[in-house]
Amino acid sequence: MNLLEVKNLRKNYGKLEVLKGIDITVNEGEVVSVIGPSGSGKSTFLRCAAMLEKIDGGSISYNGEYAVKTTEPGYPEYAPADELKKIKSYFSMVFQNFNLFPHYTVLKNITDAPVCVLKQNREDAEKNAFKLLETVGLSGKDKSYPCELSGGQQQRVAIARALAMNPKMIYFDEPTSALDPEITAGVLKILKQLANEKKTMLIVTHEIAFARNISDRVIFMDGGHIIEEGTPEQVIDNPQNERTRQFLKTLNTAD
Amino acid sequence: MIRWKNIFKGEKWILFLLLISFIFSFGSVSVSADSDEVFTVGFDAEFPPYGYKDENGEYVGFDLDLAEEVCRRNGWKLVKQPIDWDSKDSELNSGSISCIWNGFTLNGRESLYTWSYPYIDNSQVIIVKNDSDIIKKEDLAGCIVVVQADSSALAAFTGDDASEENRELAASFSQLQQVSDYNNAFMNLETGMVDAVCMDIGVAGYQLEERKGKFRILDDTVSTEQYAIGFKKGNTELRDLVQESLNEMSVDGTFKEIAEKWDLSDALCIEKSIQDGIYPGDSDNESKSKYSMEYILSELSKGLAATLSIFFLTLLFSIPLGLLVTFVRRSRIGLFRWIARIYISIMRGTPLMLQLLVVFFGPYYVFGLRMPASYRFWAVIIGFSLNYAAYFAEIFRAGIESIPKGQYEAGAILGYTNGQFFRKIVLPQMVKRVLPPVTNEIVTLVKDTSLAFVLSYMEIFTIAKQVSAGCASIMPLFVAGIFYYIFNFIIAIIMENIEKKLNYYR
Repeated sequence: MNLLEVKNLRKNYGKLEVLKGIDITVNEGEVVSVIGPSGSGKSTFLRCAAMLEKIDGGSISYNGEYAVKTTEPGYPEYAPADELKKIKSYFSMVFQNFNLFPHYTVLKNITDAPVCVLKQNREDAEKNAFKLLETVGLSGKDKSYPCELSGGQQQRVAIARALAMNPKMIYFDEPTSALDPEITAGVLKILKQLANEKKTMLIVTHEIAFARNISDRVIFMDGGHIIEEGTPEQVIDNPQNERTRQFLKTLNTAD
Repeated sequence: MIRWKNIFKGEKWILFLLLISFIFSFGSVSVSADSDEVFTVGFDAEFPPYGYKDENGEYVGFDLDLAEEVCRRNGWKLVKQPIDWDSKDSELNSGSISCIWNGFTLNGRESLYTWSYPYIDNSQVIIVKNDSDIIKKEDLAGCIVVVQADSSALAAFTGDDASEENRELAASFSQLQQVSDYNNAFMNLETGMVDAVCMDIGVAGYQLEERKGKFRILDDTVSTEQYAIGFKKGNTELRDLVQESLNEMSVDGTFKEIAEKWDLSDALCIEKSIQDGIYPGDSDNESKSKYSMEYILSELSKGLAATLSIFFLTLLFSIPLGLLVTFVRRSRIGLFRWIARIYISIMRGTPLMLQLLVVFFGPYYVFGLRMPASYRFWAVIIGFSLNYAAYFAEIFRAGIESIPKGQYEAGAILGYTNGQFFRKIVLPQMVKRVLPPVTNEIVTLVKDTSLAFVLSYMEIFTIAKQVSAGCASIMPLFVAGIFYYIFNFIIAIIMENIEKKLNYYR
């Protein structure tokens, strides 16, 4: 069964059509990267899939359970609140700007939602948090506040926070875009590590080399459509579509 | 003769609003200095028939007519300057007015001013509601009696020269309440907040005519007193000039004519005074204050508890109320949002002083409710809390809206409920963010507690004004100012420390 199945997803901002019918499936254990120029709709797609934005058409289901479906055109119907709550627990998300809670320590940032939302025992949550901090290479930073950490460190805390919720799948929304180039490596290393552990991930990124390296599948989006989809070798090394080629070429010249 | 009674024929609430607008009508006189010599008369604009604002918005009255005539005879330009009665000494001493000419009682104040000859002999009378059981002075035992702050009625009861009989009478009252003006006194009487008002006979006659049928005067009077013009202590030069004109006016009959116009002929005593030829108080050479610093401090400390309770109770009620208004203001339901907006708009758009008056007198004038005497205090607290809640609501809203949207998204992804998220994530950060503007509001509140004087609630500033008027010195006001400063200084230190405590994150 597909972990995520998106069909004919449409999203408008007023009269502007941002997503014009997107179909994506993600299987368990798969790493999928979404690339494309700015304004192609890739971040909007991710936010719709994570239900931060209401959609205007199509359907989204996790594990075969519909979060939203459209039977009557133009009127997408979301699942009732309790079902939606359960569905939302299947995934977590890492943001471009980390979005840590500044008044909480690193430890509290990681443990608060598990204790508060998942009703984990505080001790267990903390034990798990220390393990996750080790995973992201931040042992000993548990008492720090986010403002005392570098951007890369904050992003690694955000990854630990997402992992602490024990999701089936994690969304990454341009996780290195707000970071200085020299510290993106640390964050990418952790993502690679998670990929090796067969975590299901959907990553919106500008790091083409990284996408090729880590992904099982790459999706190229432009103008609210999926233009090309396939293995990294197919999409990045041998793009069939002219727009994909153009996009990759501009990136190469920019480098 | 005096024709503003038709104003009062409207509905009760119109009367109420009018009265309130009168209270805010001070200080609207423009001064033009065409003529070289300007003679500025300071008067209480709510003291008919001696000086008041008529239905055309003009300041008129017996004393102002006299002043007009004196100016005409001396070639001076008359400026009619309405003053806050409690501030009359500061006005006089600073030279912003030339004299106090306003049914000004000299008895008990002989040594504080340089006086003209007394020209009116007046008595204090007691006014009760028509349906009251009070017939004689003795019936006032156990009653709440109201007088104007620093009025001759107050002096008659508690002044240094008060007669033994009057002191005993005052002691029999359950309370001797002071208000800032007579409109306020009559509102208090009509709403049943007090049992009787004590005031000058001339004023009483006028007021009762205007408020036909609602009140009556007791046959017993309280004391006899005289009116004269008060000049700054030592300014005999101006006094002599004015007195000379008054003497002329007395001889040629102008004085009497003016008195007849205002129906005050019976009380006139100018001829006798001229015959006697004695200026009141001229025998004392210096005006030494009988009020020591010790006295001032002990009086002000009586208001300390009142000021502190206004302050703390207002904070206690207005902060949670403000938070509630914020929620309503941010509600998903449009109607609620509009209600909150209108509430905030009214509270911020009208004077706090007016709001206090509405809260205090509104229940009676709008709903006919008689409130208990303790309502005076609660009206102050309610008025302040409602007002400050509006300001706090907007500060809190700004604080909540300054939390980055990304945090809300993180909260949504992590599965927090709205309540959990607000309590755990938004509220603690909001507190830190709103601390500087909240400190501003708290500091303002300390000073605003002084506005309770409009309801004659005996907090520090009300007392300071009264003591100041009583001893013709600004010292009590100055001491009150020091108190407010120290209070705010302490608050600033406390708030700074709280800010530091919250500085563990950015």
